[in-house]
Amino acid sequence: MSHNSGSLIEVQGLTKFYDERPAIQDVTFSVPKGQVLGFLGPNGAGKSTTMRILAGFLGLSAGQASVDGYDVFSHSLDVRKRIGYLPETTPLYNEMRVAGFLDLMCRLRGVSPSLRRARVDHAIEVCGLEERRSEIIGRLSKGLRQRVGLAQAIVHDPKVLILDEPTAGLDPAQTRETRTLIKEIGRQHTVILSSHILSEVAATCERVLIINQGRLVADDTPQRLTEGYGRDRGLEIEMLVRGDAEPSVIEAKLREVAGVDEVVVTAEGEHLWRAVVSGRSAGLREELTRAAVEAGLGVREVQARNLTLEDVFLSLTGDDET
Amino acid sequence: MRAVATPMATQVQPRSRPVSKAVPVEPAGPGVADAVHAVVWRSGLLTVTAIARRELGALFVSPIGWVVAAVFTFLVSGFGFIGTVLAGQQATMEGVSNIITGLLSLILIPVLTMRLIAEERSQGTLELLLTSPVRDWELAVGKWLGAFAFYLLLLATTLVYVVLLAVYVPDKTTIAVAGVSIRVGALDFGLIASTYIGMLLVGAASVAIGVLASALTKNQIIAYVVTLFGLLAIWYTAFLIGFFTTPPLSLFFDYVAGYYRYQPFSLGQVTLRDTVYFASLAVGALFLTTRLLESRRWR
Repeated sequence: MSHNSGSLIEVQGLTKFYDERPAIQDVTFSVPKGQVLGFLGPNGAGKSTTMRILAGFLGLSAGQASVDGYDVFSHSLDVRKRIGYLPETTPLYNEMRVAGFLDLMCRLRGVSPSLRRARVDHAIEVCGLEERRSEIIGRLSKGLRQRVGLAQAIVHDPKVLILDEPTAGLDPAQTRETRTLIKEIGRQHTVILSSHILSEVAATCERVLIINQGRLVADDTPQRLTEGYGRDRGLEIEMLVRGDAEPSVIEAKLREVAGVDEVVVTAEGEHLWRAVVSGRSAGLREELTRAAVEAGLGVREVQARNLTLEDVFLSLTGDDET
Repeated sequence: MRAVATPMATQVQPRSRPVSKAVPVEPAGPGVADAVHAVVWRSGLLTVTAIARRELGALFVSPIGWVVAAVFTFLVSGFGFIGTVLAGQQATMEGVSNIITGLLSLILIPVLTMRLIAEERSQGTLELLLTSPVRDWELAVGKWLGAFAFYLLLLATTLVYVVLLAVYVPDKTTIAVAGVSIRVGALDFGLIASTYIGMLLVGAASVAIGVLASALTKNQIIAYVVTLFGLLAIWYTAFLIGFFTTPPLSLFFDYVAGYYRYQPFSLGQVTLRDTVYFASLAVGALFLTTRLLESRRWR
């Protein structure tokens, strides 16, 4: 059990085998109170398994995990009192009405009778379900179901929220709504959410864990991950230049600039060329512009290609295409 | 049915619900009701009744519950009551209890129980239940209680026949109910009571076996078939084997045969031996269900 009072979730060397196959291996991390943590990884990387273990639904093969100081295995009930969990498929009782369902969840989680009504109303309000409180869940749209799923996760005011792919299968408008909602909720709760969508994690989380084939491969803020990775990897600059010169000449001129590794010139139109330059020098854009102008070319555009979390993710998960 | 554009938009609606703003983050103050609730909640009884209530509710909103009730009522009145009482001219509840224990509990109880856990498993709602602070036995017992309560309601409808008999049987007798003497039909009320106790016990055990079968699979059809054959085996197979074997083997099979164990109740005898038989079937099946649910944490 954890003795670190600073962090709400402690995971030490967590390993889970399904039969012989390891789903996660030696995963270690901790989450301080109030943090919104993103779990990023391709499908089947072990995100759901980790979350299910934390939520007390699955056992573990080796290692330890605790929530608020309670071991998920030996004190499962204490852990489950403190978490709100939204499974990946958003399972709900379709024949029930929204408010009735939330009331049932309160009863199952031991919310005292005097608070029950207020908690249900609060969850309904936070999730914007006032208009739907007496509708039958089976008749709600996917986005509304997701809100009901979030409402049941927060209805008993848990310390930790575990959200497994909260925006999977939603349309863009619903996705944005749900993200706003999670951000809102994240102000008062410690949240772990998983996703295979990078922009989502970048938009909602303060910290990202990247998991691949059951192992943690990165643990940092979204910003630092992209910056740090960009430094190692170098920059990519795209230029649009105008001039009568042959592409090979343009290429040679640009190659002369210090720090340039690679230049690819393609025709973009009549006397218009697109040059993609990669290199590792700090002032590369300025240097390239100067070189182009000196070579008698007109510079129309100079643009650094932004490295995204996606590039980091793809390279860390060994599926580098960029 | 228009979809709401943003969650924020709905929040500014001028609906006054003053309580929602003032939700305290920590659990409530030391109200007596809340203190009592905390103690009772720890016992698990509240979760059991919450689960049972939902189960009962689900049976009432789904066609399954109504179909079962319709078939039950139709067969009980047709064969159990009209056949025995009107055609057979016997003023007893024997026909009703025989068709319930001999046939309907075998074919209808599996319909009530097949979805209990199998559906939760296939829909994924089991994950919702088992990540709530609900102990595995609370889930098993809650499911059992929900379906058993429905069975009790079905049984309760047959009390109409007792009333009919009491009113229309020509021989009258006077009984005192709460100090008031009323004249009713001269029925063997002791026999009727023991029959009902027997039907309760048969139902309790059958529903528990149904819960166990439903916990085995996520396929409701499989759960139905397993329950049906399980009940048939307990009810009749042991009875048949006992019939064709000699002591001491036949003594064993005669004892485990539910058919024999029910007979005394239909004769007006409530014995400890037979009560223990049905109760241990129910408890045993629910115990195994609990173990099955627990096993997910070890796999």
